[in-house]
Amino acid sequence: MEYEAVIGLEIHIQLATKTKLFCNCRNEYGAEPNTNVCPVCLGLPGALPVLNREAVKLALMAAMALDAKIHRKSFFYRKNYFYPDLPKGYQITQYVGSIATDAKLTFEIDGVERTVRIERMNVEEEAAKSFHAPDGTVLLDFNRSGIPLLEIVTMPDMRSPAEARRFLEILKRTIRYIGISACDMEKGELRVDSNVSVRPKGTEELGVKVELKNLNSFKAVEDGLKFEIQRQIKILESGGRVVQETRLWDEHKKETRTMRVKEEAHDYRYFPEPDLLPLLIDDELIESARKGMVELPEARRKRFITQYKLNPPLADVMVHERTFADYFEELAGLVTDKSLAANWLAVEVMKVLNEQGISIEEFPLRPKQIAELLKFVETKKITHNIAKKVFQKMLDGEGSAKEIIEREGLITMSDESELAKLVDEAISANPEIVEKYRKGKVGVIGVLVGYIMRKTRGRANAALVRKMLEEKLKA
Amino acid sequence: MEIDVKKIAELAKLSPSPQEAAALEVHFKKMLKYFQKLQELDLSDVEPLTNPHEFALRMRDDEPKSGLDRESVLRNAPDRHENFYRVPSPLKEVRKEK
Repeated sequence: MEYEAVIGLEIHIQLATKTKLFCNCRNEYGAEPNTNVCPVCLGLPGALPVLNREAVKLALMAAMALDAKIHRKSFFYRKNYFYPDLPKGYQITQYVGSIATDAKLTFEIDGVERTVRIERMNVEEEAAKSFHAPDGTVLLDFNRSGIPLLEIVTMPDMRSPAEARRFLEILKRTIRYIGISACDMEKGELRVDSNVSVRPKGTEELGVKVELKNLNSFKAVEDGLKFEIQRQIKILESGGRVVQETRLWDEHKKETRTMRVKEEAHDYRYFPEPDLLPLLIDDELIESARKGMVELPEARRKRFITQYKLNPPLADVMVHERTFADYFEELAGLVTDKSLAANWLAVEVMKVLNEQGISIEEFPLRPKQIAELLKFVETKKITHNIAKKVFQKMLDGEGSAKEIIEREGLITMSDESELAKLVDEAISANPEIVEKYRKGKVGVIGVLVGYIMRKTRGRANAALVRKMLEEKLKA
Repeated sequence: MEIDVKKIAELAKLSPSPQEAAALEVHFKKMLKYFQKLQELDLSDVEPLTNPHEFALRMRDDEPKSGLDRESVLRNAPDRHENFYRVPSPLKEVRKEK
């Protein structure tokens, strides 16, 4: 029987505010342990929460970016459970009455457009960071306690691990575009849990779902889901039944296993947070969120395809980061061949960024400098290969494109009388190749082209050389 | 309405004696009975009330202020390791209870 997976995701994103959700302590990654703490985020008796307006604004921006229904009145609840990282014994979160519901994210996967519905978006506080010491004790850092989180809960709309991964990539891209979180998974700024079940393909009824945790990277999401789906299918095929439970993905063993926690721990006894009034969102707050909005990556991608005539995969690379897309647009404004510009960024510039582990903002060359180089390529004054060498010299600080090309005499040789001499030389120096060519092995002409390119240190116009060689050999 | 005093106590990390549990059960039942009077009202047209006050929640600006000094904070910790609070493993506790 063929099976189909049904996947839903629960995502937590740390909002990039200066301070925590309910107190003025700094929201800062990597500070000395337990230095950004106060009675509120330590849960000391009598301390009262005061909501950070900026956190609400950032959550509203996310709601707008995900096309959500924003609720002008929402509520905070207490979610009760005991755990060392939760000093009050409850987490302030939203339960009935989220700040936003009915959102969605549309994206393309393998050329097909998909929409994943988002059920609700909640503003809530982060727990403290715990470290498990070798002796079995737990060490706690309350700097993280109370950092604002945005919880995003999707509908079970995804049907494959690859689709779940793509959704997350596009979600991250969108969130980074509007600048409300860096979404660095290594820093825990974006965290993912998943619900997954399987059912016979073509049926509507949902199978028993398993909650999957410890998915610490996009690859872990994809691998963990793949494993879990296969595990569930095997159980069903051997006539067994999937148990509803929480399982952990083990990155090293490449398997999921049951999480050992007591079942009773899941009774959260939510009730309205008596220390906070209902959250009423006024026009001013909506307006301030709207002002922070930018063109979103999907819209920008589509615009790049129509406006600059980029092919879809290239457009996708151009919009992967807002600053990268900005760089591309600045460059595109300076050159005639927009696809050449996009290709140059996607291949040559990306290579440098990846090698040096830097972002486009840290890249030493500005669009104007790249444009100067690309104009030489557009007008066929230099070859693509020469351009790569010039680019390297520009990175090494040897001057501008124009300076390097002039200084080193790199302008393409397109002068036919000059090239004709080289063609004759190539033919007389390689009689056996010429023989093969005349016997019908036309592919060997590449050897002759290569000969001339070496002789001219890559400066010869290769297409012209090939044409001249063909004419000469056929004569 | 049934009341599982044992479960409520477990959730609250309390261990009442059998006598205390029995007394609590009587007490809880009384409270519930009192609130159940509300069920007599037809509230189908009434929006749930989460807070009796209808004015807006006051919010604050996103401006950092220094909090408590670390040493004075950790002085309250029953146990510490370097600059961290140290607590027993919650997982170990689960295993013990089993």
